[in-house]
Amino acid sequence: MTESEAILGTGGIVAMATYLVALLALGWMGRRARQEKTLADFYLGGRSLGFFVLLLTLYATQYSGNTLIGFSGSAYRNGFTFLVAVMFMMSVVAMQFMFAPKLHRLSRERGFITFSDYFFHRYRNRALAAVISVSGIIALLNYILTNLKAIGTVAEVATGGKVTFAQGVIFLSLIILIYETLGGLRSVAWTDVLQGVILMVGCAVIFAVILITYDGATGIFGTLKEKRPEFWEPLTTTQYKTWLSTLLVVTGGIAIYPHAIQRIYAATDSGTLKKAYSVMLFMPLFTTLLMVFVGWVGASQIPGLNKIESEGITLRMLGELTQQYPAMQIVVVLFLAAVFAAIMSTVDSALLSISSMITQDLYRPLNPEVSEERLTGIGKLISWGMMALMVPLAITLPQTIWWFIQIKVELLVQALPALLLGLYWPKAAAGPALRGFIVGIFVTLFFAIGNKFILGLPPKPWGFHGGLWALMGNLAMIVLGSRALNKNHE
Amino acid sequence: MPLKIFTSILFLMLFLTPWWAAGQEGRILGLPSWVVYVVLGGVVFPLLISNMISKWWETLAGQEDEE
Repeated sequence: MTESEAILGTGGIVAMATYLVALLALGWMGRRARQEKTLADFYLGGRSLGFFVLLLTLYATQYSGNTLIGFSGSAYRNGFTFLVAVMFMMSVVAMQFMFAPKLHRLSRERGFITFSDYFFHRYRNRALAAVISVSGIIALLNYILTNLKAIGTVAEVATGGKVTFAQGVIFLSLIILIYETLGGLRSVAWTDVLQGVILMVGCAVIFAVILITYDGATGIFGTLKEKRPEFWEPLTTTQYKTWLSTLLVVTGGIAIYPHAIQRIYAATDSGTLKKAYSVMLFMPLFTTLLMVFVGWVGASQIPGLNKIESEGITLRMLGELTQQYPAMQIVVVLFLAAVFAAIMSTVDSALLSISSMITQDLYRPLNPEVSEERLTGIGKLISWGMMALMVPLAITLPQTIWWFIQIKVELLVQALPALLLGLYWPKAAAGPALRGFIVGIFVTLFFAIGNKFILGLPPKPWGFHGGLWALMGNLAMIVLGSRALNKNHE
Repeated sequence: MPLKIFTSILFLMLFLTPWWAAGQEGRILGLPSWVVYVVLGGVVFPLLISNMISKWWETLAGQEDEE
């Protein structure tokens, strides 16, 4: 790629550099605001996040680079059926409403730091807490890997190869590590405020520009019907089954992202959390729906792209617009800033969560005498160690391993039955919860791996994700096992 | 109460799934009718859940800790 093909001009690169410096400055401010050298201060911002910061950190964390790149690409390929993304992003908040109020109260009373702390408190079973923690770590490592790959690609494309894929991954990972190490969640949440605002404004501006340029909604849908008539074909049974299955699995999986749970603990009070969720419910209308619409516009204007090409549809359209109207360069810069913001806010949160789970759930029980200050230091080292592992993997692993990453939410959702039943059903017992979770994980992996290596095994038996069948088996095991256990005790 | 709230949310999610539109060719404003219904559902759903949050947040928060 030559320099002339760079999407970002000198002005754009200066703007991006300013943004990165601002992130480091916010990281430094987060360190200066530190109250004490404890795990709660480092990993939960001292449990003091107010409404504005909490809302934007929830927002920036829930919406990853996938929202800007993947969602438009999926809408381009799948048409109207990808409206399911808007629905699952809303349902995630509805599902979190099921456990957030009580989990927040318990976290205050019992001093929870990680997601698994709840499971240990409720079930008094170290094995259950540990397996949930380990599965969360694996899922989040996958998440970091995909986002690092995405950020390297965007950095390379944006600079026309002046910054290579590997340099982009290394440099931006270093920025994340520095501001995160400086102030933990406080720094991450403050950078999320900046990143959330950029993401929100970026989506709105790109939507408006594309809507106006391509003759409004009527013109766009007219062209789309002509170019992609298959979008207008009646829904099939398979399509609505996939919709329902995706809605259930993705909703449950995203709702219990370990870093999302830690934001529940970090809210300054219950009322603040309640207000933040009430607003979060509407955010898919102003983010996901807009990017899905942009994907449809892409399908009407630039048809015939394959899967990988369609992932860059927004950038491609903005590139064409810039050629017609050079003033559009500023929108391209805004889009790239929004992509960087979305990816970095996801990676920093996932990394902080992994560091807390390894420190609090795995290291601390084996070394109960270690001080919180020392544990915080160990946590920071773990963050650097994890990134030292992830960066080379992101640079070297082929795209073909991504099938494994796709089952991340199917794995995470397996903790949902033990969480909900544990919160509201007194009879839920530790043994069945552990067995249900393990069976859920194995069934999910069986369908995912079996589909790749065993001839004839469908990825979605009877139209539903393997993870959903696993979830039902998991739930049945906990309910039936706990009932049987309670009957024996009576 | 938690079971009632959970069931209500699941029912609402079920209605966000256009299972009732399979095979239908109806149009509203030139778009497949189910697309219009789903988008409208996308506006109504957060309003309903937001109402549930304001009504039942404290109820869920105050549920006794089951140890």
